[in-house]
Amino acid sequence: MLNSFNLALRSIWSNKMRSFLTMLGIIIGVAAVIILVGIVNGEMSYMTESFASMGTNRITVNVVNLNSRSISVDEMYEFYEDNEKYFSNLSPTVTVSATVKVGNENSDATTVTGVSEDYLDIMDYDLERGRFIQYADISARQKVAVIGLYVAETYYGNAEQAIGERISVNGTKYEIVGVVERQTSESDEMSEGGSDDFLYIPYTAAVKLSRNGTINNYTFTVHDEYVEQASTVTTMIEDFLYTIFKNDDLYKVTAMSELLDSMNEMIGQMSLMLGGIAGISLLVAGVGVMNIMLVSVTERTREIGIRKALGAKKATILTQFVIEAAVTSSLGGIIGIIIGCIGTVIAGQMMSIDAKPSFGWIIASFTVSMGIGLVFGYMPARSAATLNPIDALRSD
Amino acid sequence: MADEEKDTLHLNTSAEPEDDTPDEYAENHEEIAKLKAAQEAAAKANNTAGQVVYVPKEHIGELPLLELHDIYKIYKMGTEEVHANDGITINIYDGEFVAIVGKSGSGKSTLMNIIGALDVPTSGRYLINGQDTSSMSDDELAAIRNKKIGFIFQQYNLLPKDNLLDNVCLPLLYAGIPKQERKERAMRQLERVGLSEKWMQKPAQLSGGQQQRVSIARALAGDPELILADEPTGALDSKTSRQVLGFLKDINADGNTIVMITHDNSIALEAKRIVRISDGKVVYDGTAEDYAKLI
Repeated sequence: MLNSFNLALRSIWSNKMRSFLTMLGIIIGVAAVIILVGIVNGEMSYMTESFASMGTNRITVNVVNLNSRSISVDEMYEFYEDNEKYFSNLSPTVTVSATVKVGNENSDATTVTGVSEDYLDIMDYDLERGRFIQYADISARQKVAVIGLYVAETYYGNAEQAIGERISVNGTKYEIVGVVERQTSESDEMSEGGSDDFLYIPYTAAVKLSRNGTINNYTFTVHDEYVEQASTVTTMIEDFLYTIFKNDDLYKVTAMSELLDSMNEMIGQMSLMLGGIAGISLLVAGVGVMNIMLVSVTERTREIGIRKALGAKKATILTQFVIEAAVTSSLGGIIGIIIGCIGTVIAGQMMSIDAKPSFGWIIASFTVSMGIGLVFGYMPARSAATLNPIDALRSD
Repeated sequence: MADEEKDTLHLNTSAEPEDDTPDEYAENHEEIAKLKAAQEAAAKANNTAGQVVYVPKEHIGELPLLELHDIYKIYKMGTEEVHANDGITINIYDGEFVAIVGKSGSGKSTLMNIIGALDVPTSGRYLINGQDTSSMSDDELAAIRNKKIGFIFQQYNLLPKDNLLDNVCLPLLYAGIPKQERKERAMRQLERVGLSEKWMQKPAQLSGGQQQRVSIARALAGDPELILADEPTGALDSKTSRQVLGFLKDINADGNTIVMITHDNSIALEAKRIVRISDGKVVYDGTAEDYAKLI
């Protein structure tokens, strides 16, 4: 066994070019598997993360209020209070298309949203300076605003200086009472229309700015222990809304965690598909191994004849050639794994995602490449082992 | 190995005269007739009718090392049956130096394959040291070749990618001898043929004569009962041929049994005993001296 191993290594070394070409297919196949799966996994965790940062505990409710059937903010709050064991926060969200002006400068890309005092917790944000909108502001329809850091730095220099200043929304002046911490990740620049270019005002004030004067969107957060059972909670909300609207086309309840689930499933399918494609390339590599091994047997007929004449048994020759094939392909596999790991990291950096080679797939692709060597090496090895020494000695 | 190929190609036509030009490899019918007559005369003198088994005087009463009894090797060529070996009976004793001589197509290569346990006869018995090979499997034959026979080939048949030491080690490797002992024994044999200093060289770096000496060392390495040399001088010039024959004589003098296959009478005469094969049959089996007188 050890001898066969030595013989195999020696034979691989003495045919460097041929061995390398045989390995190349395996190298490419294994590296492809690892890189593809690594990128997909990286992409997946990136998407999962950005989804999670949106808050998997959030449930959004959109309603269409008609004159005959509608739900008021008070009714929604009543429902919320009745079910406080599920819900931790509630905020109506009123998106206003408004012109924001600071002095004479227009800030068109700034999003204006009317929210409740819970909104900061719902978004899981912290304040840079000042305070958030409070219940008193809402009930009194105070003209106060909380802005994103981009707005503060662009128009006021910094967060400190923005506090107490006035900002105009559709011509109405609002007093800036707080600035939200930077939300754009460290590696990126804050930009116009980005995640720090926003303005929050009390929803009671925002309703007056919006056209129809009703509140159509609400955001709930559920307690952590109910995140897994988001569908139960959404069903409960739907049942409640049905009693009011009597028509399930008039409302829509969406749980973020459900979205995340379906996205994970989609990405899983994609990674399986890519793995399949890479698997086919490994199979092709295996056929390459078989081809080269067949050539090698033909080329070395005389050597086999000499070995058999000197007393090598069938099993000895068989082992030698099978081990040679297995060693060739597993060497290829190891090189492929190294290239695959390096390639994954490089590709991850280029695509600026956190792509990591998956340990499971490394093991799987190594096993497959080794297995390919054994399976596809066996047939040529058997034909080598059964060669008649007389004929084999006679060949040139 | 052109002559060997001819062997198989011309098996069915070798009985007929091919053309008039004299050919080294073609059968000399006059010579054969003379040898046959001499053998018959000897048989009559000994008062034994028909075929006799020759026993060299000094080995009378011993058990033979190799015992070929009524060996037939029959090939099917289409519908025709070709008798490559047609009832061959020879006994070879320990310590002998036997040359098996035959022209192309005489069946000597087939006989060599059987003696070398590379092939089994169609019928008849071949005993090597009392073991019958006739019904052995491939692997059993491989073990016989490994333990009991040392091969010397016309084309040396060294592994080109291995160095001399590894080449000589090869039969020991297959015999399952531990690495250290393998190397020591192989080195001793390389010393014996005077090539121990070049052990790390590849066969291609040596001359033909040196390569043949390496293959002699390889044949001796496993300490086999029989050294089987197939046209050992076929690829060498006359000077190196004599050198290699000298080596064979030396190892014979050391007590090794040698069977040498050749088509060349002058090479065969270097042996002590000659077996002449023609048309698959033994036409002469006796001492080299008597053979020399007859041709």
